[in-house]
Amino acid sequence: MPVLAVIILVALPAAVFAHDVAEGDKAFVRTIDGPAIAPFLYLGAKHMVTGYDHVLFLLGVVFFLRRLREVVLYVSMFTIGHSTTLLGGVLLGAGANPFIIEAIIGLSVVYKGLENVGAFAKLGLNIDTRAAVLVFGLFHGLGLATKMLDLGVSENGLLANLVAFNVGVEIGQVIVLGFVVLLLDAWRQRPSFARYAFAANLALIGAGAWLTMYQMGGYFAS
Amino acid sequence: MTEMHTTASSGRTKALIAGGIVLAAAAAIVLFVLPAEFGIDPLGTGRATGLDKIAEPDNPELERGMLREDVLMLSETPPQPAAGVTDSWEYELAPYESVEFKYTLPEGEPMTFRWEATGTLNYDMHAHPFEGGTDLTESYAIDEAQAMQGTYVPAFTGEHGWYWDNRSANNVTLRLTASGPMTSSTIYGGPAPQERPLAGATGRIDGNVEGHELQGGERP
Repeated sequence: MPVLAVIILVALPAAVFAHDVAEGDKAFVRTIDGPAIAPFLYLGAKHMVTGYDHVLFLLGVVFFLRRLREVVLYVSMFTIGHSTTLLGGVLLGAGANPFIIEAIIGLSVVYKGLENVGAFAKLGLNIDTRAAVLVFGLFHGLGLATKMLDLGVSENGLLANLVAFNVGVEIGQVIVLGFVVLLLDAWRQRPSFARYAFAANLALIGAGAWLTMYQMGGYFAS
Repeated sequence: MTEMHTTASSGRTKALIAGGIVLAAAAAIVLFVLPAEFGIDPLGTGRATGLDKIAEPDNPELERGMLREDVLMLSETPPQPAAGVTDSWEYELAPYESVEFKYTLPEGEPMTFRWEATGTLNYDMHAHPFEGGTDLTESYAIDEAQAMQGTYVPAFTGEHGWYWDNRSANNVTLRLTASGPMTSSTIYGGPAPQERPLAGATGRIDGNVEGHELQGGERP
């Protein structure tokens, strides 16, 4: 049951929302010329809450974290990473090929799933998880920057709107984490957690691998 | 006894947390999501924050177009051919593909047209003047439909036509016929605008619309 709940929670946004900036939002951003704080806060939060790739990665990151202090530590690494490239990428106008970035984001999900099932420890690889989360955070931010540039945001009021978008992303992240941490916490207290935790992370690896393949397919088709 | 007490209070805590989450989610939906996504603004928060503009963006192009009278006159039946050349064009839109087709037309001379598709398409019928270009674009009709027909009298010399967007998962074939004083046509959608000469067109109007992007905001 809890597995099902987690899968539904994770898969639902994927099914309902295409993970692109919605066309309607684009039409809105094209009409904006100057600071529009609230709408960009909203768009940032919406992007995070409906962005299943970011949600999957966060799920992987906090899967085995029991203490709030650890959650805050790892999520901070992720935040530092993605905010750096989001702000830098947009201000420098440095978007990257969205397919490649999304494929790497898929790999970040694969990585976290593999780590959660102890694959790297078994192979004798000693990867500093904090550093890995930071580095993958950089790629997630580059993905966000590419999306923001794709919105065709005006130079007028860019900094204010960009910061609002970034803060919105963090608000969305807190919302997502709130749900994920509460659900995981509830699940951990049941015996089924021990039984299905491994399977859940295999599913995570599978979803990440699928994302990567899908985006690479898009890259070669484009 | 102590056990039971703990269970009861943790049960109450859980119920409180769950209730809080439901309340917060409901509040967020009413305050922010409804105005931004659907333009429904029960408490006026969308208007106050500008979130309602996400659902209904300002459209200066349509506002300019709506100020005009006697430019686009739709008709129930296929219109009579107008003086000038007769042209027809067919195009198959892949799922989620969009395309834009424009005739070069002089000011004030009527063109009659009809287009019809095998599925519903979102469209934006609009025009760019050669003098002013995309800064002065005017839209005359933005909607979704499977067919459209009538008479069109250009308000200025420039490029006049349609943006079509297939938002379905099926291929949709579009067929346009038009007659009037068109001198040339241009297709936007590929990597570069593609000029398409018209058979029998006599006059020539020089000019182009620089920096033209697909009307839907997609970069070609």
